[in-house]
Amino acid sequence: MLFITAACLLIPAMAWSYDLLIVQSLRSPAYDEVLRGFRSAARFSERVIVLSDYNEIDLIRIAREEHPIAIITLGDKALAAAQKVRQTPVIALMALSYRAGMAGHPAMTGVEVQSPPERYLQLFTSIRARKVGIISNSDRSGVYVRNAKKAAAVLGIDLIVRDVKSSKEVNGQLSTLVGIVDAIWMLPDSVTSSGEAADAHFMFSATHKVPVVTFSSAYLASGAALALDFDRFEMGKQGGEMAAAVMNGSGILDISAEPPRKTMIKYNSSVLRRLDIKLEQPGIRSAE
Amino acid sequence: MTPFNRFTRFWASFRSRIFLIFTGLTGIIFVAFVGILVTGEISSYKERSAEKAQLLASLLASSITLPLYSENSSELSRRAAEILNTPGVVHIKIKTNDNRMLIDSTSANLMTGHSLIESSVPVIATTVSPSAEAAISGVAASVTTTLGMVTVAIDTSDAKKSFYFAVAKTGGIAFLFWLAVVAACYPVLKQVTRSFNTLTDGLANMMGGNFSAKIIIKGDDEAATAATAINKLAEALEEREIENRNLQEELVKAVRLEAQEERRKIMAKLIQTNRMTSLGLLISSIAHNINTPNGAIKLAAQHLSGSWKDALPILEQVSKEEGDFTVGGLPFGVAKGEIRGAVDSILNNAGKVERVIQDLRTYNVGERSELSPGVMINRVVDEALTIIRAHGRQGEISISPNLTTNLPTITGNQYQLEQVVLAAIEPPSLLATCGCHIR
Repeated sequence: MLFITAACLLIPAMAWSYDLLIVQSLRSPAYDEVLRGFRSAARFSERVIVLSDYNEIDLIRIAREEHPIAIITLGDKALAAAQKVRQTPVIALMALSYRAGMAGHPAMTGVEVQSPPERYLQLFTSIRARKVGIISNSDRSGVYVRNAKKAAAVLGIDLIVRDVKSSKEVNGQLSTLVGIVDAIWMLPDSVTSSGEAADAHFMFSATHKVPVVTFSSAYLASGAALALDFDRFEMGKQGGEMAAAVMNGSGILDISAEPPRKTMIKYNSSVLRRLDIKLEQPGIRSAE
Repeated sequence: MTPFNRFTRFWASFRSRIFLIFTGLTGIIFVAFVGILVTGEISSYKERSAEKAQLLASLLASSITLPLYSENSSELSRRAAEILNTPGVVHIKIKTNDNRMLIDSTSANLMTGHSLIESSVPVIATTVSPSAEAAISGVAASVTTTLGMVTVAIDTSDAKKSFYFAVAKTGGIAFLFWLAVVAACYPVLKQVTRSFNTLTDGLANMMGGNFSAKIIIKGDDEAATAATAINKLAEALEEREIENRNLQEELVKAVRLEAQEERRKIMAKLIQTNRMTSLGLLISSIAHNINTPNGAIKLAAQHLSGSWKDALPILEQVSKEEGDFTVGGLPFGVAKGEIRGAVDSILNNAGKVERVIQDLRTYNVGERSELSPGVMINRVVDEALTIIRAHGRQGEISISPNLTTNLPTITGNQYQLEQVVLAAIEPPSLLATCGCHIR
């Protein structure tokens, strides 16, 4: 009787004990691939929460009660939810708003989805594009664009940047680039790369025969000429290594954010043929 | 022939009726055809106008996705103006999703009172490209968002003109076609119904009684079949008529012969009746003339018999006393018997004559002779022979009766039976002349 009473009193007090709380924005094969890479880096005890499975979830209470060592976020919504958990380190993966989100959290690191500008610039060089137009939102991509400009200047590429505050302005700003750019660089920005804004990019490309270089091979079917896609498994692996470091006692602030370690260039051969572009860089593969 | 008669004949004609019915029916069909076409044309015009408005609105909606999304009024105005230049389009409205009017363009052709057909189409931004987050996460490739609404108005005030045009066009074509059909139909109908006309003419000829006339229709249609049947019927009727005529003639002959025979019989009967009447009268006369002398004879014989009875004893006494003597050339002994027999014979025969005359009278007046039982056949024969002997005494007749005895008596009229016996034997005059012998 005494045992039963003790069990009844103690069981609610027992916390779910694990190392990492993995929060996904939604269920997706891309996230699954990232998680496979993540788990390949080290062995962790984990709890996975998919936000799209819940109408509302109190992540702060979960973190407070379950005390995970770190929170791994996949996607922007997951990152936004994790930002509120101030006392737990966050490793952000697959988040477009990583840069903006990091500013509000004291212990955050992760792997960016944006490849370093140099890799894009090499791609522009390979298609002999000297004037490259960019539609960007300075709040989200300002730092990246500034870095890109510096790198472009070294390579002799002129980046012509048009700043927009909302996706509605993209079409209008694109029209200002008619005749003055050799290519368009579409940044991974939720403002400039929304569905309509992305369509506007590709409509511009088709109308004015200007190739669009983008950050995801998903746009090749919509009309992008080239895509500098990152390896999701490798990104997960990068995140796993960061988590392992945290588990080993490293401070989260000591671990700096990284760009994707491994990227792949993919292209739409039909668009390139239509635009009469010949790639000069070996090792690039078609999306077909 | 008066026009009225001509019209009546035309109206009663089988061919004319078929032609009029066909003409009327085709006319009704063509009118219905025109009505259906015109109704369909009106409905089609409205549908086309609505579809045109819908199509133009859809076209405009699909072309202004980005300008509406970016609320590029100048571009929207340009696109609206392009559509407004389309014939029939008089009004275009473009609204945002929050019902703000961005474009409200009206054509200069739009006038007050014109009927319009409007069609509104939502401007839907179906992005082909995924959003940046979707591209990263690999889900939700396309998103559908309603950006606003496009309304295109089509002027349908020329529908009436289109209606009149449709009526004139379809009505004119249908009328010409109807005329052509009717014009082509009449010769065809004439050709088709020619056999029926031949048939009716032949029937009219037969109705006049001329069954020998044949209806000749070539072909194997119903009229030809009917003509063949009618021809056979006419042949049968003709044969029947000939037979009837022959029978009638024979009947007339038979009736005539029968009437002659009847008349002849009647005449013969009349003659016979007259003869019988004359015979009756003659018999009555003869009976009267015979009865009177017979009565005298009978009376005389009675007197003679009484006298002989009185004289016989005296004569016997005389014979005894004086010897025999002759009476009438016969000795008294022979003569007394002969005389007595002669007197009895006179009385007896006078009685018979009286009865015969009585029978003649009875026959003459039509009374039936009475029958009496117990008539002896031998007696009848004897009496008949007595009569014959009375005649035979005058001639050379020899009668030898050989009667069967013990014959039964019968019921009958003795005198009539005697007449039968007399009739069975040749008449006395013939017997008197033949010199024959009767057994």
